[in-house]
Amino acid sequence: MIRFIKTFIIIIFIFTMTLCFTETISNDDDFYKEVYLYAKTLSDNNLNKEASLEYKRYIFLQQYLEGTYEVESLKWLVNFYENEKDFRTALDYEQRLLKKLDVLENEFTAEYVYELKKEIFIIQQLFSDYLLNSGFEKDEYINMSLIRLNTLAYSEEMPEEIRVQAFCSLIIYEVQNGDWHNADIVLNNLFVLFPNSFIDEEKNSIERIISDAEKFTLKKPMTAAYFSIIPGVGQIYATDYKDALNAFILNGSIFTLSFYSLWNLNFTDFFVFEMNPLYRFYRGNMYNAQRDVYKYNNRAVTEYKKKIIEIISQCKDN
Amino acid sequence: MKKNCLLLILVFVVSLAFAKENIVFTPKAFEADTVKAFADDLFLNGFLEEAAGEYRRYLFCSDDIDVSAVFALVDIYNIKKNSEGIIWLGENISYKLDKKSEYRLRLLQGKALFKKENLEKYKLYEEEVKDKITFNENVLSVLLPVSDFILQENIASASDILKTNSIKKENFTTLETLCSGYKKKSSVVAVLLSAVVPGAGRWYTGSLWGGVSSLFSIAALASTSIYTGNYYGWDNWRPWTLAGMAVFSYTVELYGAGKSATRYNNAKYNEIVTEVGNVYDSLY
Repeated sequence: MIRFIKTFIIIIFIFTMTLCFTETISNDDDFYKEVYLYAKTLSDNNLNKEASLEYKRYIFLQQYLEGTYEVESLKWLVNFYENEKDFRTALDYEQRLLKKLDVLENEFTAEYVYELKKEIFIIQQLFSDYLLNSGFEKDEYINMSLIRLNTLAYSEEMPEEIRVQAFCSLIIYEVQNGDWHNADIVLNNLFVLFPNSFIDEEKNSIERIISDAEKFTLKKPMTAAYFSIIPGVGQIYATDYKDALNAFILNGSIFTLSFYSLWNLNFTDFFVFEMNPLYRFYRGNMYNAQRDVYKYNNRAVTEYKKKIIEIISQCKDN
Repeated sequence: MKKNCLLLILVFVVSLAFAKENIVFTPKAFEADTVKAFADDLFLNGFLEEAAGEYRRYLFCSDDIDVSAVFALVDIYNIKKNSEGIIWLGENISYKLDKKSEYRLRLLQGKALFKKENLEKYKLYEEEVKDKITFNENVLSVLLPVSDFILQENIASASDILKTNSIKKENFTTLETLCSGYKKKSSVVAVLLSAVVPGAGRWYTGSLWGGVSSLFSIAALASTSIYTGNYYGWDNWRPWTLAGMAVFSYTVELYGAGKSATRYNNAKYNEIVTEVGNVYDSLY
């Protein structure tokens, strides 16, 4: 009997030890902690490029065994790519981070709301960067970001501050894009859904600026070119008086010189020395008048955009 | 005792089997396969520089190489136009690969060396490939000396080899035509021609309209100078100004004719170099 009990105890002991051993392997604190710590050491020492690779490695390794530092790693990568002005990658990591937070907690914690705000901020920077560098052709990435902003703005589940911020970003996008009509529609939706998001004075001034911008008629470059038949008049039309004076003096002197040569029947001087500069400067005068009109239009539209973005950004920050 | 031992072993095995479900496979962070998987992930997400670093780490630390890693790295180097990287791969990794992959990698290495126009390194590569590679279907045995001669700018010898070889003609048809039609234009002849008739040097180097335009502008300036000299007298400033412009244009034309010959030769040579690159590509 004693022998049986002894054997039984040994069996139980071996069984328990085996289980403990396997549990130790699977439920370690964080199997890849070393990778995270190495990445952190690199980033603490400002070796950011190297650190970004190690953070990515840590995040990649989570598919084998989940650790405890994924959120921190993602946050670091978002900040890193934001500082590097690579807003697309920053947005990718921000969205991964939001998914991760969403999985962890199914309610709008302060951290989750903060990250949502950050996502909107990155999307807005992405739009600005895109409009500044690539013209106005939308690509798939921009479209997806627009859909995301619309989802955030019109989703009733979202907290009010997030929705207002998403609306503001949509308005800023439309304004930057020069689509005043769409900006007006989004603005009206914002005022209907959240009447207290702006004070009356701000509402009125935004509406007034948008209506002015919609009414603003652009000056025509061809009209400036026709006016430039008299050198400088096209530039006056484009309100660039300095360029007008310059064009008038330059073209006027060459014109006078040519006229003098022709009046005295001095065709050699005219054809050899004066005709070519006269032609070139006169053509340049017409070209400059058109360029000045483009500049004028651009300046005027930018002024409207700047005013609206200033008001909306101030309200958004508050 | 024997019974007990057996029982203990049985319990041990059963408990292990039971525990198996709880064991999660956790590869080490810097295991070769994990590094390769991480590199693939980086590559697919567009982090090319970082992926290249990880692929290199994988290739360096593993003896049993997955060929896909090598060619993913080749893709990255091609995208980044990093021919040094491809040469490095050929020199250091090709011996770890199977024959077919080694052949492809060696071809890429050859093309990269050829494009860099580094004759010394190309000769070393040629020796190495001749010694080691037995799988070539004689195409490479023609391409290597042809490339060598072309790098030495000895196009005539390259053309002779291409004419006499009877192997896979279709790969070399265009190259053969380009090599046999290659004829260098002399800068001295171009300058002398332009000195006699302004613009003739440019016409000789294949730029007919450039030559015509030079001839007309110099002729116009010279004739206007003579006309104004006769009209206003030679003590007037006009004929001398125009004559100065004509002399200046004439000097520029002489210099331009010499340059034009060099440009012509370079363009023809580059055509041949590009075609050799195409032959490498067709074999790859």
